[in-house]
Amino acid sequence: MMKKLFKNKMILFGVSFTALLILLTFIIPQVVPLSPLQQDLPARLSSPGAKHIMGTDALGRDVFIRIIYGARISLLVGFVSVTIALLIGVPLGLLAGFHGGWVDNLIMRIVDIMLCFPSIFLILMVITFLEPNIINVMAVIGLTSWPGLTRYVRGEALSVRKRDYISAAKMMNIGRVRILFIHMLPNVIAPVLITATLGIGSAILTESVLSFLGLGVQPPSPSWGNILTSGKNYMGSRAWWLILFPAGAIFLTVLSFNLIGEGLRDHLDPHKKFLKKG
Amino acid sequence: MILEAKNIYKTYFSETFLGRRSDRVKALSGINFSVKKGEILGLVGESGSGKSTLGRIICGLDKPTGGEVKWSGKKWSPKKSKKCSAQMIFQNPAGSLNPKLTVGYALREALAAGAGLRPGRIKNDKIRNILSKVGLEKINIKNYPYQFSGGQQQRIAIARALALKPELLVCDEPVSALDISIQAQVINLIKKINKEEGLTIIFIAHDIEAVNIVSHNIIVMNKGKIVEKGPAGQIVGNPENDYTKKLISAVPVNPYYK
Ligand SMILES: Nc1ncnc2c1ncn2[C@@H]1O[C@H](COP(=O)(O)OP(=O)(O)OP(=O)(O)O)[C@@H](O)[C@H]1O
Ligand SMILES: [Mg+2]
Repeated sequence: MMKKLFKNKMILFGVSFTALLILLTFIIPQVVPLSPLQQDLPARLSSPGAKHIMGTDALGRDVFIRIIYGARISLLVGFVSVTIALLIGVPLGLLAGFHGGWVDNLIMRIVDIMLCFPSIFLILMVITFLEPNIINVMAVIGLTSWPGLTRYVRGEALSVRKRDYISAAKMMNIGRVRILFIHMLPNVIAPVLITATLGIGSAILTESVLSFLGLGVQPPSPSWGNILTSGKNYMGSRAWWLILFPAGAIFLTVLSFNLIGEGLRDHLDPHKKFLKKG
Repeated sequence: MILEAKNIYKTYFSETFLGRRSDRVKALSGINFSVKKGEILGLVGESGSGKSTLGRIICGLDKPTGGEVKWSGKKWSPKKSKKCSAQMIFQNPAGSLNPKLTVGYALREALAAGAGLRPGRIKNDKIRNILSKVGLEKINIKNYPYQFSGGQQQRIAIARALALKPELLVCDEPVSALDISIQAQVINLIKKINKEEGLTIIFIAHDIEAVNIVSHNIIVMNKGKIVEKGPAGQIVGNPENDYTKKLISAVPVNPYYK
């Protein structure tokens, strides 16, 4: 199974890049004594070179070190907000699909309403009323990104609940929670995995946007959005490294998670398989 | 009487896009019968005659639109009683076992539910013991359903149902999906369970020949109604109803049945 997954080039690239990034966030702080806030004033705005491989910003802080420390923030935001979305979205989707009737109607109307708004709009609406910090960013992204997951899980759960093994479980009278999480969840794990990986990518992107707008993680924390902000005033001028490297880090990381998600979809999504055969 | 079905109706509505109910399908209209303890009752009829619908209602999986099912004179409702006294065996054995759970887990869970314990309290001997009742004491219980043949899967499904200590087993076309050479084995197993455990069984099939071999009494259904009922020999040897006669003349004979 694992071997087969890694034969997929999209998954191979995505997993390799993500693994490398995670590895660097652990190794670099051990090996390089520079802190992401440490200023090297004489070397302000120096271009990439032997001393600072990705150059320095206007305060003389090392861009590479800041990007590595920023990766911790981005990955943390990605994983935590997706975990929040999973904790809300999966049980609701399972419940809607299994229970049907008014429970399904209620849950799906809420989902429909939330999906009406672009999620960035919802996030901006909420976050402007909150103190901008990493906890709030994770909470708000998590709390606004579950509806798509719920809709997908519910669709799968609708078909799973008609299977005879669910009838068999009902006849055992083992309780709804057990049916949902032990009998149904493992059979809808594909959509969960796919949307979760895609969700990590989009959460990372959202965090960067929020930080760039000054609504996310606050400076001087080296989040990728903040690094971009610090390069904002130098756009178009010669300090290209202040834009290219953080933007590249965001792009490659989001791309990696999207590629893993798409790759998983090719392998796991039963509908897609069916379409390919037909 | 272990079970009495009283004037059971089941109508399916399909909802149109405005939520209006339309397209009624009368799956069952006015079903009355009773089952004696220890008997095998055959339920036969063409596809669409309502056999599965009736089986699901007996097992508490569907609610009747009208009428009621009484167990030893008492009404059963899923809210009041912990577990329905009936268990069902389905046509497609692969679909009745959860593909993501090992056979051992499925049986452990059923044994626990039957005994009112937590699954962790069920010992492996118990699982072996229930498997021996269906002739599978030697299988590896850590395997997943797809690692077994259709006949083995159906035996495992039967073992799981037995683990719940039902008063009645509803077998809904239990052999139709199996290889023809395996069908007789599973039918003999069902007969053995009835004899040795004294378990009451409703055996559903559209093949009157199979029903005749297994059952003591037979109910013939057509379009949601009972058209004839009586002892097996009488129904097959001396049918009164035209529909029953039609069913008898239509059967191909399975060479494996004895
Ligand atoms: N969930 C449902 N929704 C709507 N109609 C249904 C549903 N289930 C069954 N029916 C209809 O009820 C009627 C009886 O179906 P049922 O499955 O009980 O027949 P059956 O005798 O078991 O047939 P078969 O031999 O094909 O299994 C059929 O006309 C069927 O189309
Ligand atoms: Mg049927």
